Amino acid sequence: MTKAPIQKDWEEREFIESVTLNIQKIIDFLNKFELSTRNKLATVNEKILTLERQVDYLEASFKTVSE
Amino acid sequence: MTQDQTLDINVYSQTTIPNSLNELMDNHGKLQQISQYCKGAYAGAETANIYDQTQSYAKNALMNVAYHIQNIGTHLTTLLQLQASEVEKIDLKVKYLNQRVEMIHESTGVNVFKAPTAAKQYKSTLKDRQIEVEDIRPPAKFVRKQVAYSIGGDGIAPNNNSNGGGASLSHSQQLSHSSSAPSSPPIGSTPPPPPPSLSSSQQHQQQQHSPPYQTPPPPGVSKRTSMAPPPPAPHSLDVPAPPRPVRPTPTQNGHAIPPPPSNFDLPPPPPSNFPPPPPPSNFDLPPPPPSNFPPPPPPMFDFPPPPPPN
Repeated sequence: MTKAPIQKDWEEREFIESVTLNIQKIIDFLNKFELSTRNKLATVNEKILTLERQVDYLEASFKTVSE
Repeated sequence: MTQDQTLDINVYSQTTIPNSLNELMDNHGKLQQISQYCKGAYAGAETANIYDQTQSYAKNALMNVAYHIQNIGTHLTTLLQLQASEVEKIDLKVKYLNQRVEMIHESTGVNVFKAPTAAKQYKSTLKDRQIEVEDIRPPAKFVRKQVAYSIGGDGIAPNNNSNGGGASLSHSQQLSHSSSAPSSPPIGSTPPPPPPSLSSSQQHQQQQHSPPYQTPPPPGVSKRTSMAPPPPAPHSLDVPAPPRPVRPTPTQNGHAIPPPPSNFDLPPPPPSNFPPPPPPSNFDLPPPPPSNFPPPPPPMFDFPPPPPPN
C-alpha cells in the first residue's frame, strides 16, 4: 500500500519541524548555559580579586612583623 | 580530599574538557562529510532511499551533537564548582591568616601605630557629616521668622484673644492711632476727656464745675429722645453703674473695663440725680445741654401704658 504524496509531504514536513525544534532547544540551552557560566565565572573572579588583595595585605603585614 | 579536588580540577581543565571539545569538532567535520555525501547521492538515482538515509543521518547527528554539548556542559559546570569550592577554601585560609596577624599585632602593640591612619579616615567622614549638618541648619532662619512674628504680634494677638483685655488693648491702640493721625482729627472741638486716673466722684465734680458747651445741638437730638431706653451700663467691677456709658478708662482699681458699644447713636440717659456726664471726645455725641434746659424726660417705664387697641 503506497502512501499518498500529500501524506508523505506532511510526514517530511513533520520531520523537518522536529529537527528544527531540537536545534532551537540546543541553541536555547547553549545561551542559558553561557549566561549561567558567565555569572559563575564573575563570582569566582570577584572572590579571587578579594583574595589577591587580602594576600597582598597579609604579605605587607608579614613584612612589617618580620622587620 | 583537597588534593583530589585539585587533581580533578587539573584533569578537567587539562584533559577532559579539551578532549570533549576535540570530539565535538571531529563530529562537526564528520557531519559535514555526511552532508556532502547525501547532497551528491540525492542528485543521482534512488532519491527515495537517499532521502531516508539522510533523515536517519540527521537524527543521529542531532543526537550526537546534543550528547557532546551536554557532556561539555557538565564538565564545565563541575570545573566551575570545583574552582569555587577551592576559592572558598583559600578564602578561609586567608581569613585565618588575617586573624592571626591581628592577634600578633595586638600582642606586640602595633595597633597603637595603626590608630592614626584610622583616625584620619574617620575624620574625613566626620567632615562630610558636619557639612551635611550645616546644610540642614536652615531651620534657624525659621526661628528668625518666629521672632519677627512676635514683634509684629502686637496688632495680631488681640485679634486672636477673645477676652476683654485684648479687646481693650486694641481699642486703646485704635484710639491712640486716630488721635495721633493728622488726617483724621476728632469730631468737634470738644476738650479731651478726663484722665483715666480720676475716680467717679471727681469726674462728677469736674462736670459740675465745667462750663456748659455753647455749641448748638446736632440734629440728631430729637431723634434720640424717641428711642428705646438705653442699654445697661457697661459692666464695671467697682464703679457703680453710671447713667450713661462713660468713656472707658484703661484701668480702674487694676481692672480693665471693656470698651463701649460700637453704636454711637446712644439713647438719652435715664433720669437720675446726677447731672449728665460729659460727652466723650471722639464719639459722635451731642454736647451736653445747657443748665437752662428742662430736666430730662422721665423714663419709659413711668409712662402710662398705651390704650388698648379696639
